[in-house]
Amino acid sequence: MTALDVVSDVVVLANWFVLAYFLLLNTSYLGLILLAVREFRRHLRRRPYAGFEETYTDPLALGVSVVMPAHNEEATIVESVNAMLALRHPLFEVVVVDDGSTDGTFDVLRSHFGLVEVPRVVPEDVLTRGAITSVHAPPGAVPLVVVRKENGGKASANNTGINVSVQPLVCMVDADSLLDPDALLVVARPFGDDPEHVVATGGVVRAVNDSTVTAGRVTELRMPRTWLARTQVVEYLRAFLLGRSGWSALNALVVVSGAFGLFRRDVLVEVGGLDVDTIGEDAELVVRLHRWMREHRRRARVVFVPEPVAWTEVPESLRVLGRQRRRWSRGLAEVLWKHRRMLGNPAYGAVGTLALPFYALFELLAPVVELFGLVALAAGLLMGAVDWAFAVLFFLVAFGYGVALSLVALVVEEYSFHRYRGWRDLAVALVVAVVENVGYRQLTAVWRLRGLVDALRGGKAEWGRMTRVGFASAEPAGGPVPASGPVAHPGEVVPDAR
Amino acid sequence: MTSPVSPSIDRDVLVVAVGCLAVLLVALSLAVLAGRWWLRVTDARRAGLVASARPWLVRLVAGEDDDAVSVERLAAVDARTWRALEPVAVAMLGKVRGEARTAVVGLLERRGSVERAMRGAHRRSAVVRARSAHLLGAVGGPGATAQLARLLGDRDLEVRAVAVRALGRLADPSAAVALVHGLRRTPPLPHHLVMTALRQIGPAAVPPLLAAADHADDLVRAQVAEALGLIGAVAAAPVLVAMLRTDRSTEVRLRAVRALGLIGAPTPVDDVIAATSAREPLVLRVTAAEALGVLGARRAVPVLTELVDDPVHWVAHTAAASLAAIRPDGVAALARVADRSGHAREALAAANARRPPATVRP
Repeated sequence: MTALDVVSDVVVLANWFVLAYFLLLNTSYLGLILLAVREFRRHLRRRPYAGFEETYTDPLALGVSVVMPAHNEEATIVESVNAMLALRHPLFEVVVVDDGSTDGTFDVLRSHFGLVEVPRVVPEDVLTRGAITSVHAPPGAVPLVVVRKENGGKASANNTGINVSVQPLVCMVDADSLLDPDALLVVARPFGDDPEHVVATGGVVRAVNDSTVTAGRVTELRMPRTWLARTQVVEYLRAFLLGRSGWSALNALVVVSGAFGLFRRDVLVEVGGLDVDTIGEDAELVVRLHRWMREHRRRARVVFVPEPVAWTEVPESLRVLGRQRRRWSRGLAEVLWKHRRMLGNPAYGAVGTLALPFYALFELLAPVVELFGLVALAAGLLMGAVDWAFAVLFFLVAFGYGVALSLVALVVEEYSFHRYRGWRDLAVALVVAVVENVGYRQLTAVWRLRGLVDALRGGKAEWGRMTRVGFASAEPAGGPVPASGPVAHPGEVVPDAR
Repeated sequence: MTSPVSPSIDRDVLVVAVGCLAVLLVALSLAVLAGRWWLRVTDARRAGLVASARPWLVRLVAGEDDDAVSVERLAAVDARTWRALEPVAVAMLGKVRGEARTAVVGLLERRGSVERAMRGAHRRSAVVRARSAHLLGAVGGPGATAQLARLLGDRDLEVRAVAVRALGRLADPSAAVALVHGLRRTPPLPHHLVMTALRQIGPAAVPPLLAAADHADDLVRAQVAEALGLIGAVAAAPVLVAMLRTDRSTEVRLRAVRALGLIGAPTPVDDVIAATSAREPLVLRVTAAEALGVLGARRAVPVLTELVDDPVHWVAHTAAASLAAIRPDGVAALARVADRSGHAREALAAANARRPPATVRP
């Protein structure tokens, strides 16, 4: 056997390894989807007798502080705050933390709500970065507080919001997110059902691009116009809605989206709030919650609620999307490294033995294996160890399984929540389920790999800049809101929709 | 592609896999399309059925024309239409009172919905049992309370929760004993739902609550104290004072002091003031300071004024907020210390602007 033969065999084995890896990865996702189906079925069947109307009038309902960190959100902040204030819940307040905006974010809020500066002693329950410069409130009983502070980053702004919050539950939402009207009622429900154990709940995040928004409500949901955003709609459905529901069923949910998550305030204070030095602060917080609870011998549950929805704009340019994915990947690597003690450790339950190993093997390392597979295949073809017919079959199996997975996700969506009602939207989703596996997936693998390299190299994390498109609003509330089209205010807006 | 095993086998395996995947992809695509079609058809059919009978239901609820005609019409609709209409009728029950309610209940009884719910409460399916409990809670009537009380011990948590809500909605005093028994956590019930239900039942729930006031489980005693406060059981004040003074559990003492604030009886003010002492646990101090504000006890103003300077943020903050609630003495006290205390300035500004004070419940 010559050296070339040995190399050929190695290349062939590498290809088989890659194929097996992706079959295992997609099968894991399939398992999560099946668990999610069970959860959805239960959720949908309980709808008629869930008693949300009674909760709305229940004087014993747990109060919620909605924390909205905002940085250069002039374009949509008034509409977002109005939408938050119109949520259905018997007891809640909205805390906007203006994190050193350099545009007119605060000015539009002051003008619209008639804000006046108020004295406020804010406790230092959790660590923040950047001092509070002033606190404002509208006259009368509007449950709104606006805190101005020096720029310190999103995690720090959220921590300031936690300090200012006065309700037992803290809901963290992105300032550019829109919530369904019953969102707080439904997402707060698990805290009442199991008050001793539930410490956090996460809501689902979906793409709002090009849908019609009226008075802060999504009134007509449509598939986005760009293929990049359309692809993310299906991706969010498969990975976020179904994947996280599956993890929740296993009590191993480790990511609650920074765009829509609800936490017990006392527990947030106990664990020290969000880590201001981690770029994946939302995932890090949840992993730390699990860890802290286990290490203090307390049973904790983090629950994912598949409906209602937080709507957010997803990136519509490759540059912005690439930066977002790079940041997510780096954040994941940092979280896994920080909590490496939990990896595979049965002392941390399903989080340690299932979720974190899954994220390490199938989320963090997937781009490495995927790109390694492409190189191995190319090498095999060049060396003649792999023939073209076989390469085509190889691709068809690997990507066919990926397409099947996306289609399963669409089937589940269609038979459960079916948010997109138009036939055209459905046709687009079917096309996306196929084409996302060719090109888009490989591109995200490159970005994620770069994020991993960033994490290995260390150094200061960059949030980057993202251009805002704005909601397609039928009735702009509180001033002009740019409809889809040219960017009016390129701002520091990075929707972190994980 | 060559393989360490056998190239031909490898290729065959892949060809079969590709074939299977192709079939699967087509099947899944068809399933998506069929789902959409099925959804549209069933939605349209259901809407059509409801639309055909809804006007008669609206007339019945509105008391227009002759109710008997509407009832006869609705009683005569076919089973398919009634299946679509029944949830609409049950939902209406929560929004109407008096004769309209009686008319809808009569219709549900006549259509056999109540009888089906009584039977459904024994069915194997948890969904059917929960749905039946929901309907019984909406309709009430003979046997409903007993049936729902039985469901408090159901093996499914969801069914138990629906039964608790239903009993609260009925507010039947005879359910109080069963609900208080439910606090004992075997099997567990969502406590906040039980609290709400006991509050809805009101004074009739006080005797069984008092009977459980010395239960061995801390959590049971704590819930008893909370429920007594929510009901506003003035007669239970001595029991709550005893809990505040002597109970070994901070959680029980905390709920007792909060309940004393809600009840509003003047006699226990000294005990509540004593609970703000620096020797007491922090959560109890904060809750006691809050209770003094709820009580509106002028006698507490000097103590609360001192507490405004407490080094612990939430004690000082809550004391200031409570002073703002005690008009005019508390507000005057705040004005006196405003120059040295940020908490006082904040509470004073909120009081002057008639904003609710920013206090956090520990």
